[in-house]
Amino acid sequence: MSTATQLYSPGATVKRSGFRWLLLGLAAALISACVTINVYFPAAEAASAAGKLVEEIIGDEESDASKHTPAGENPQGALWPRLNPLNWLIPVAHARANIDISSPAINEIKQRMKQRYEQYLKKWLDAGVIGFNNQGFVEILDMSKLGLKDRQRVKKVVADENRDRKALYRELAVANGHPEWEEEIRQVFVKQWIAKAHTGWHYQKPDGSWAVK
Amino acid sequence: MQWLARLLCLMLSLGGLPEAGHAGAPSVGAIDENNTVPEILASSEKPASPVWSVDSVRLGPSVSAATSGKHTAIPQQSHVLQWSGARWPSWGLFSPRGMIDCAGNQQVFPEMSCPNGHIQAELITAHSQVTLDYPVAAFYNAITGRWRVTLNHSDGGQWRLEYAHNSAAEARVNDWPVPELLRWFGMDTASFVDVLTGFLNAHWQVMPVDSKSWLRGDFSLRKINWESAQGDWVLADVDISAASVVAPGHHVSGTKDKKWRIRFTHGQITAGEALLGDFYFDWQQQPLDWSLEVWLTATGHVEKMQGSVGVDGVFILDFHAVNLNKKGKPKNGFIRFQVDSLERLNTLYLKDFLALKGWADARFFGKMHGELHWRDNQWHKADISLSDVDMTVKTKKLATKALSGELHWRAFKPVPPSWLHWRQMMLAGLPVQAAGLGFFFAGDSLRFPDRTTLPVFDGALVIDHLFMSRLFSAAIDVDFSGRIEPISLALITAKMGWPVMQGTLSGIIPGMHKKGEQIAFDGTIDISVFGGQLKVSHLSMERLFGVAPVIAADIAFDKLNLQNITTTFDFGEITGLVAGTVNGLRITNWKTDRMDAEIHSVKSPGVKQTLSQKALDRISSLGGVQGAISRSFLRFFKRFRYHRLGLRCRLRQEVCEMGGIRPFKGGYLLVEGGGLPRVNIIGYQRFIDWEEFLDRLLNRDYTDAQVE
Repeated sequence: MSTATQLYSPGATVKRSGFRWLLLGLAAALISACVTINVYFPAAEAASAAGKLVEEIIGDEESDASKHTPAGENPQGALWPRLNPLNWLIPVAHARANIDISSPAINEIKQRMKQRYEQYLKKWLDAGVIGFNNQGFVEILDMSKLGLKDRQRVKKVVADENRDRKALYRELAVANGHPEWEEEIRQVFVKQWIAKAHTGWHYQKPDGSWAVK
Repeated sequence: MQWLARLLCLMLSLGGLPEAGHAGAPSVGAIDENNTVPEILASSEKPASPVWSVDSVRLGPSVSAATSGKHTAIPQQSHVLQWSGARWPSWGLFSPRGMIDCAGNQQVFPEMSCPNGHIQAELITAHSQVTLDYPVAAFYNAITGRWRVTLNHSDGGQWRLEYAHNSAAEARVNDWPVPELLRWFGMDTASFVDVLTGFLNAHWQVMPVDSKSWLRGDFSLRKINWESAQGDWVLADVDISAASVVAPGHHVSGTKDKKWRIRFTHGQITAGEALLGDFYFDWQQQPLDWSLEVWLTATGHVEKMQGSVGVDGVFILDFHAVNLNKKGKPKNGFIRFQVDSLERLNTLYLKDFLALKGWADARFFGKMHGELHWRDNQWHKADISLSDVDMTVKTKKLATKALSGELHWRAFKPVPPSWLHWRQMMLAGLPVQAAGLGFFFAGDSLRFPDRTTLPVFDGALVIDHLFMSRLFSAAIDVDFSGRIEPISLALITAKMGWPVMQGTLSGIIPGMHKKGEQIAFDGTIDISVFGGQLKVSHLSMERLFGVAPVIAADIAFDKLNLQNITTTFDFGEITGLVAGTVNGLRITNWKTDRMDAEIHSVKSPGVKQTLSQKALDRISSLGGVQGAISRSFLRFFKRFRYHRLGLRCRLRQEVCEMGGIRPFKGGYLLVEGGGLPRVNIIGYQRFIDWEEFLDRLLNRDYTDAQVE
């Protein structure tokens, strides 16, 4: 059983009193120094977690795109910690990220999405009726081949799916102790839905145009 | 060849029957030996509202070569009627040129027939230029004055016009393609319609144009399939029928133009489906009655309309719109409706719409009626009455029983007071007894002028002040203050299916605000419970009526009487006082999802700190020991004194990370004993499934902990 890992909260300030008096000269400069550890959004971990969750819902058809899923970037920069003299004295406080993708709410939403995918979304994605848009949601593309009753069903199911997705992104952010990450998490999912999309499915590119996987 | 000229008259003046002596009916000059027709007198000679006029007409022979197989037949003479500059001012019609080629005409008098003719004509209306090109069959008896003309469509549709002298003309339409009909009216359907098919069938009587009703009869549109360019408005295989009357209206002042009034009565939509925006209709299941009355200008612009739609025994909706602009949007109008069965209305028309909004399981019963008024291009007022409306939305824990009231909305003040009352209501699972509330609803704001009391069990939620504004935007502003008048916890907990607790719940809600789907309560709610105080702060609700509703709060409590608590939970009696916190509590889908809880004993003069044997057993079971006390010599002691007790639970992902007063011998200290026998309880199990934790706390015994 693993425990949820505590991430540093934004703007958390870690103070180090420096070395002992022998290093007073150096320490004097450091004592007053506050090293601000900015919590960065663990994009790579989030991508991996989101990818896993997406796979649980729509299966794991191998796709090239998934191999090119961009890893998260650390805004602190990889070079900066090494060059910063302060880091020779103070170990960099790493925020070990481990994105949780389960909570009662998430599990329930996920289960519902999975069931919906199997019952409706898969066939509509295969048929090009709907696609994954560039906002992390499902969008109706072409219902012309469907009867009216089915069109209404598509609209209802897509509305339900998008309500669940919205709640899912929010709950994932909350479950990881960072409600403010909702937007970043949604962005990660935009990439993951598309990366894991099956061959022949429609998806929306960042520029708004639609393409077929 | 006068009959052909008469036929032309008919073609050009459907309805403006060229009766002898009729105002505006032109006279046709004699035909000379060369079969040429002198110019027909122009309407300028008859200034009083001419029905039609023509610049020139020529009737003469034409030579055409009929071919048959490999052989060319002998050239045959046929008559051709040509015209130019034909006008019909009342309808804004103009035919610059046209001809009817009556191939193989043999007999001329008294009966003439043209069974295999052909018409080609240009027709210009206010909006369009149309070319008519159809096979035509015509018949005329110069003595009786009877005539008949039939236009045939290549797809099999037919228009048949028939006239007997001194009686009304008759028009019979048989499966005439609707797109073709719209083309006559100059509608460029391609610009706003993706798909349009369907057929017109009709039987009309055509009266002289100045008679009371010019056109009268039944019609039906069959198998209408229509799809708007955006695909959001669709009709599929719809059958519509009605009785119709077209009547000339008054003259447009300052002009010679006439207005027209078209009335459709006894209308029904008997088959087909429709998707109109987010609404879906299945008329196969239940036909829809309708009526419509339209006032048209001479140029075909809809000036005013009124009508109704309804289903017998379910609802009726009347609408009235005037001053329509070119796009068909009215400046003023109103809608009046009466719903006799909300249940059936919901089943027929509302449930598919509500399902899109996430209210698929909403059920309604009862009646309502109301009026909505549109003035100067905007909604101006609404008055709606509800009577005995029952509603249930199980997934949202929402229900009303016998909800009645009057809702009055005005775009601008003053506004009459609105009120609602009900016999029973459930809001997010909270039962509210019979009560009522009054409010004022103007513009986008809702004001509750009086203190409103919503009885809940034996207490009440009291709204001291409530003002909501920007209701129609995403960010609703709420100015609120209220309080909870003491409610017996016993009643609440019994309702929730929890162990029945003693005490009361009361508090003050100083304010609240809404952000997105989150409603946050300002300040702190104070709850008096178990003889102590419980403070709920940062209370917020999210998606309360949506997917996975959330209630979040931070809770701090002080001096709760353990004796009350433990009696309630059948835990085994513990005396003493406790304090603690539950921070970051998040209840999702009505289940505790996340929290950091900590509870510890508080010493208080005169308050004994003791545990019963059963309680000690229970606490040790939290750490994982079954029957720790009852199986040892300690069972001879009924009560134990304690010095301190404490418990922590950090709940994440349904797992409680346990802790006690402090770390102790590789575990954590849950109870630090006092007096003799001195019993310490140490827990070793760090992670416990939350459900299991609750089970242990309330019911069961487990093994695995140590007792010293």
